[in-house]
Amino acid sequence: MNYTFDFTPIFQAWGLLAQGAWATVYISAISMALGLVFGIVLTALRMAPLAPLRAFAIGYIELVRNTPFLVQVFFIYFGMPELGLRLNAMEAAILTMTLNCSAYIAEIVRSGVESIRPGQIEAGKALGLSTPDVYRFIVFRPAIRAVYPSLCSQFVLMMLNTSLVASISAQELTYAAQMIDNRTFRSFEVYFVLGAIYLVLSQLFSVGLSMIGRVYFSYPTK
Amino acid sequence: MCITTGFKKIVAGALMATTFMASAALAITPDELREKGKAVIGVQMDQFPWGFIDEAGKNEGFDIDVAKLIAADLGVEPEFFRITGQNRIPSLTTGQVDFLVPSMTVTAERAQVIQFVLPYSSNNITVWARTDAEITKNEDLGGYVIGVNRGSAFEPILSDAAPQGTEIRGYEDDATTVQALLSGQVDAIVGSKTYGIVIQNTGRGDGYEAKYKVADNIQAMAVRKGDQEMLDYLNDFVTRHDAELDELYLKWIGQDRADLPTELPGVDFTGKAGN
Amino acid sequence: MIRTFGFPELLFILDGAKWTVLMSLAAFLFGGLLGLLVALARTSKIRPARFLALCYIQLFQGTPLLIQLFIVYFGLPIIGIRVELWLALITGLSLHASGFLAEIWRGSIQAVPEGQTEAARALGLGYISRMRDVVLPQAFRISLPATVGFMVNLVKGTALAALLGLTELTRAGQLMSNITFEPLKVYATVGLVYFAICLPLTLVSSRLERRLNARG
Repeated sequence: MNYTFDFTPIFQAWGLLAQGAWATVYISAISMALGLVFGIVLTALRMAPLAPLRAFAIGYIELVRNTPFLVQVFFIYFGMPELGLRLNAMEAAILTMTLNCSAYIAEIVRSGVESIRPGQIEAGKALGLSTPDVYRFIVFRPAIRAVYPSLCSQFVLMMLNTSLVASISAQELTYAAQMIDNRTFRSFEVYFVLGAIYLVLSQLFSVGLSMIGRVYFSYPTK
Repeated sequence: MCITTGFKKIVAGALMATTFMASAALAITPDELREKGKAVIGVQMDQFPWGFIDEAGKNEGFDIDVAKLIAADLGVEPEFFRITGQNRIPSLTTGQVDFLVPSMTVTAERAQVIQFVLPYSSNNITVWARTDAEITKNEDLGGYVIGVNRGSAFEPILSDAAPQGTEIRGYEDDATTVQALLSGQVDAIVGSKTYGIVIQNTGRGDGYEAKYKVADNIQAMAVRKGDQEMLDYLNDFVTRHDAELDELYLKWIGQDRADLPTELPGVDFTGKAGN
Repeated sequence: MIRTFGFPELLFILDGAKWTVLMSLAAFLFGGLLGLLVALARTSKIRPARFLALCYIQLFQGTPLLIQLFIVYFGLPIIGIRVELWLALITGLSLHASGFLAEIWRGSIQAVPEGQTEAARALGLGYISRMRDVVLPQAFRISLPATVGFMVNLVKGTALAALLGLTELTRAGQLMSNITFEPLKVYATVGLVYFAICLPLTLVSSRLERRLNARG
């Protein structure tokens, strides 16, 4: 082993990495929020009484879950302008992330909804709650509470996925790191530090999300 | 959310001061290649007409012809290894390839990590933009979104040339950069003179034009630091095959090959300085 | 020359799929072997082994696959191992797979009722026999849906090899997009090929899951 490690050029560029990390958090947070909303809509469609709606939701979910995120990003960013939809890298990144994670979220939320017993819905209606309120308080909220740990792992996986949007020039953490690599050629050190930052970010996300869960779902169960 | 050029400049300045060390553990000589009967040559296949995939799925282009010429001269079979802008220097330093024939810009920073051979081609670094964009000099770039191949030498050059705060978008490779211009994701791009050939070929050439030349772009092959025999052989090759290289350049680039320098500031083509 | 997307371009993309399939299979095989060891360590009675296995899993689940691949790719030469790009990628993907499979299998091993282990111990079976003959076969059945589901992720994960330059399915698409300037068609095609590879696996996974749930 005749390689001398030199991390100094990477630490000198800490400001660039910090900016990148912030962008990663930003993209992830927005996509998570939007993805959760779309995911719940998809779940509703997936369980809708109309067959075409169900077919659409299933088709969408399976298409997304069975193709790589990277290809989806390329398709949206490079392919869609041919159809007249031109997005800048950040918009394309957030759109693809949202579309991608909504499919996974829909599957997770569905399994939560299936755990709600029909009797509860009937009980809610009997209590005079409106249909939207029944779905809000008796179906989705407890359902999401039941599957919240799975949702959190999905969110963390999604945050890690943002590393791929560098390839369409979205300026997040990996992009910043590759820019440093391109100037220092200290590839191993760059990616090593990058991995460590992502590890810290994923731990922070886990902790942060479970805290949000504890606050939002802090109502008695039984 | 933008990582601005101003910031880039500070970082670049700090980083360029660092030094690099090279490993000679993976050394290879022309004789060893002859013994093996093949040479693994790193070529870049995403920059038409320098390197691209033809309809038979084979590697084609100026660099491929040059690499074949070298292989024939060495008396070995060429084995092509497709590099990307991001991995071409590591692919050499980590020993994935024996040497690079990559139409790679010679820069003093890169010369600290890899050993450049005497230049074999050139290609002005040019700003390409929509015909109606008013760009005639570096200062004008600030008003537009500029695309660039981010693994290339163009990117640091653009960062230095463009005014502070210019919005710069870095793409994976040359073709993707051109694609970004054609699909309207950026207003202008900075890169090879030969982007024009690509733009013409897509049939959308009318709407775009070359605005001005940013800098020279001298391109050279590269070997690992310390591979002195490989370097001497390739330096000799480039000198001996002047006429053939002229011919190939004309065939692919459609112009006469310009006179190339044999010395550049900060770059040692002999492999002997510093030893 | 710049050309339109047609049959030769489709063939080139399909040719790239060979690497996608090969890398997926190899990573599943080697990642599975390694993952089993980690899963056993994670469920063992030895505290340091459990802790190390936990760190191992966290490491691979807490960092992006792309970064893992880059670290392996740049790290192997540093520790003196000089390998071809495809071998470095299979190594990286296998390590990645081992982390995720270990976590899936840990869950399955722990889902086997404790009584089974106790009964086996009462019968005088040693650790190896207990695991091989009693716990793992049951855990295997429980883990099947998630394991097959992870194979889908692994196939999709091989797409990242494109960013390191291996001409697999996605990189083949990139190269064809670069020469045809028709990214919409190219990436739709690439997406469909992945879909064709992954959908059967997904269907098998959900069928297994239903069967498992039905049996209780």
